[in-house]
This record gives sequence, structure tokens and C-alpha cells, in this order.
Amino acid sequence: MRTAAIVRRTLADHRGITISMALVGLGMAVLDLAIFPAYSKQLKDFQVPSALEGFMGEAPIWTPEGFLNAEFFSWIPALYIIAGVIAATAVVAGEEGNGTLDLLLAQPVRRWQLLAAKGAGITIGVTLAVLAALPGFAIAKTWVAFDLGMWRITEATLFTLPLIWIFVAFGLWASAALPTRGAAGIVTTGTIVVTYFFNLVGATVSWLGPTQKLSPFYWGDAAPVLIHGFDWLRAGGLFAVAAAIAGLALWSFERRDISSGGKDWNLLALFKRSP
Amino acid sequence: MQGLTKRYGATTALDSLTLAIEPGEIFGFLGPNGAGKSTTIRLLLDLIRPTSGAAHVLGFDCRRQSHEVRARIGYLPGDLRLYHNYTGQETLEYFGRMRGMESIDGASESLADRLEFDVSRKAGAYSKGNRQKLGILLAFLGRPPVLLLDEPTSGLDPLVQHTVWDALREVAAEGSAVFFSSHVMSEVEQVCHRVGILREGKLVDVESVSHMKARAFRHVEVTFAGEMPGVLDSPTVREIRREGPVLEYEVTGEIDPLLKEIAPFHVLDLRTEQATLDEVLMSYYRGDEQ
Repeated sequence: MRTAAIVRRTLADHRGITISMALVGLGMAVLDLAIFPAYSKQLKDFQVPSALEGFMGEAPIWTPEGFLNAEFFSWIPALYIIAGVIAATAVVAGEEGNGTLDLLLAQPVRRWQLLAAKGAGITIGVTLAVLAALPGFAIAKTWVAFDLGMWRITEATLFTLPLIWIFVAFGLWASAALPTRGAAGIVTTGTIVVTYFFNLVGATVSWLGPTQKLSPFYWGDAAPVLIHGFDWLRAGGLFAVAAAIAGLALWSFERRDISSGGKDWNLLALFKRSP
Repeated sequence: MQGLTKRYGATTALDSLTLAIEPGEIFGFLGPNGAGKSTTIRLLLDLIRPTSGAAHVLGFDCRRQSHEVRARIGYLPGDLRLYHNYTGQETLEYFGRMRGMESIDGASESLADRLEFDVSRKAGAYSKGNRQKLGILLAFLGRPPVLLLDEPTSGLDPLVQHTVWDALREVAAEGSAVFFSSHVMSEVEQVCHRVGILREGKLVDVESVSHMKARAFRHVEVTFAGEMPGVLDSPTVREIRREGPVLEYEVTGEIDPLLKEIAPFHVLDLRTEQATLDEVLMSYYRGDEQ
């Protein structure tokens, strides 16, 4: 009952951003499928520059798989990641900065329960927003000739979830380990940018190829799923990483002092053990 | 609390605090800002961890069994912050659910009525006094056996302060222990059974309010007709003002030595005034420095 109240409250607190993201996903799904026939016709036989081939995926851009990857799955997950991270960094660091964390942690709820319940609320919200794109695809497919099954689109959509969860978990960790939302936001945004850059550059510059594999964006790429179906191994790996980061967040939060109001921080504090 | 110590690098926020508070007792924790009052409360709640020492609440270790401890504590932070977009009712319900309550208990509703608190408005629209009332209601939710209140009457008007003091006396009479930090002496005089004086993280003294005041100095103003005594040589009597026929003394403990000194003179008038707890506190600090 206690943790359920926190989950519900977290969902309610983020309903604005959840509904907005859901509408963006749904709208983009409808719009993308609506423009596909004209797009496909115009780009038929278009040769993607070789430097961009790695980034565009193996399916040609005028095919349903290539088009959906380029116009939806290449950037929409990043939008959800940003929304999820904005919410996740507020979970602890935001409350701590606002001074409301004292009152929350004075209640008979364990720290890990509080963080897990708030993390669950955000994860549910982001997941619902991602899944809201599916009705958009389904509706648009009723009047647009789009030669890709709904099941395959669903698989690709579901495949984006572990990638998003990784960064939500990372935002939670930063929020739990760093006592200001600004610090949590900087660390998380920096990590997103760096890993996105690794994936992007690694795909187009051959000698930077190995760095690509350090990026979750590489492993969470939905392009192969649109062609070959759900990749359980990759999804499971990404899910395990997300779970590990979430575990690290719980552990970090258990170890440290709570400041009354946002306070100074330094990275060394993360490695100091509370007595 | 047994040897409870909290250090931040070279700064000692709380130094070997050893203290016990009994059920039914209202304990006032006095000291200026930065003395360590809030640090003590935050250690009891496991918001911060002690550098050394331990604390127990109703037999539960504040560090290892903090969940059990917090289930038995009602807390009012000194710097109360609330969710601006929640109404008073929503705030009470949210924190009530965290305490396992299905709905707000009758006692809290009754206290809200006594405080004349409107639960329907958003917390962001409340005045400082109303926010403090909501904080007091949150601390009293579910009638916990221990109350930790950091400056509870801050921002409240005098009438409401009396209502809060009455509520504290009532819960203490029912057996709750109240740990009450303040730097306002008058409210400590009003409600506390015992007082602990904290200075720079160290507990200077613990006494009952009545003992402390009895042990404290008083001001004695004597008006003479004609000849006046010279400077008195007494460790307990100190002359602090000589103005025309009036002499003012600061007398510690019994007044008898002063009366014996002035007996040979013609006294027109004699007035005594108890020192306030502010002055008592200052005298403790002075004594500590000397």
C-alpha cells in the first residue's frame, strides 16, 4: 500500500509529460505512415551515400523497414529517453533540492523502496508513452498501403524499451548518488550524448567502429528487428544492464547522507562509505 | 542517544551526545542556529549517519532498524517544504498512506479544526503559518509515540502557538515523548518538562525548567533613602547598575547574602525579577567560555 501510493503519485506527477510523449509517438506513427507512399515513390532507387550506410541500416530507405527505421525508430526513442531522464533526475535529487525529501524519508518507507517505487512510476509512464505509438500505426495501416506487419512493428517498438529503461535507470542512479538535480542532469545528459556519439561516429568512421559497441544505442538499434524480428539476446542484455544500473542506484542511495536542501557535491563523495 | 557524534570533515556538528528522553516527557532542545539541534533530529531519523555512537527509539536502533523507528516517529522539519501542487488534504492523504492509513484519522481532523486549517487549498498558496500548521498535522498523523519537532511554532501567531502547546501537552499526557528543538525560550518555559542546552554540537547541560530557573540569576533593584552600600564582595551578587538612589544587582541562587548586606541601610523599595531563559542560556554560554 505504501509503495503503491508512491507509484501512483509518481505517475500522477508525470502525467503531463507522459500524455505529451504518448501523443507525440501516436501522432508521429500516423504521420509517418501517411507520408510513406509519396516518400517511397520519390526515393525509389535513391542511393544512400556510402558514409551513411552504416547509420541507415541494412534495409533501403524506400522500403517500409528502412523508412520506419529512418523516420521513426532512429530518433523517437531518443525523445522518450530525454523525457524519462528529465523525470528520473527529479526523483531524488529534485526532491532533495526542493527540500521535500526529508519529509518523505521520515515516513516508514525504506530508502530502496522509495527509489524503486518512484523509478517504477517513471518506467511505467515512459513505457505507456512508447506503447501509445502502436494504435497510431494500427490506425494508419487501415488506409495506407504499408507492407510491414503490425506484429513486426510491435516487436521493434518493444525492442526500444530496454534501451530507454537503461537511461531512465542511469538518471535514477545520478539522481540518487548526486544531491542536486543539476548535477544529475549534467552527468546523465553527458552520458547520453557521448554514447549516442559513439554509436553515430562508430557507424560511419571505420576505425572508430569498436567504440560503437560501447554504446547502448548500438545494441538497442531497432533496424535489424524490423527485418529479422525480435532479438531476445540483445534485449535481454540491455534489460540486464538497466537492472544493474537500477541496482547501483538503490545501493548508492542507501549509502549516503541526505542533505537538507540541495548542497554542494563532489565525485569523491560517491566513493566514501557511510559509517 | 549514546555518544552520538557527527562530523563533516574537520567540522563537528554533534559531539558525543548522550541523552535519554522518557515516554510522556516534553524535552526542549535549546541552542542557537548551528548548535546541532537539527543534526540530532536528522540522525534519529537516519537521514544522516553518525560518525560514531548510536541512538535508539523505543528500543529500535536508529541506524539498523530505521524503518521501525520512523514508523513510530512524527517529524516536523525546521525548514518545512511541501509539494506546491498538492492541496492540504492531498498532502495529508499521501503521507497518511505511507503510514499505512486508509484515510485521515479523526484526531488529525480534529486538530486541523482546532488550528483552523483549511485543507482544501494548494500548499503553494498557503502562508508560512498555514504551511507550518500542515507540517504539524503531518507530524501528528496516526498519533505516533514519539514526536520530533524542529522549531514547531515558527511562523505561527500567538493564539495558534497556544493551541499547538496544548496539543503537545495532550499527547505527552497520553504517553508520547516529544523532542522539541527551539531557540524561543518562552515556548520552552510553557511546555517543556526538561531542557537540554546545546552549544557548538556539545550538550552543555540538562535540567528541568524549574531547576534551571531556580538555579539561575535574578535581577534585584533596590532604592535607598540616603546612604548606599559600597561595592559588595560576594561571588553570588554582582552590581550591574548604580544610578542615583537605585542599585541593580544580579543575584545567583539565594537572595539572602544580598539582604544581609543591605540590611544596615534604609531601603525604600526592592524589586526582583526572574531572569528569562534567554538570559539563562547566555549565562550558560558565558560560563562555558570562562
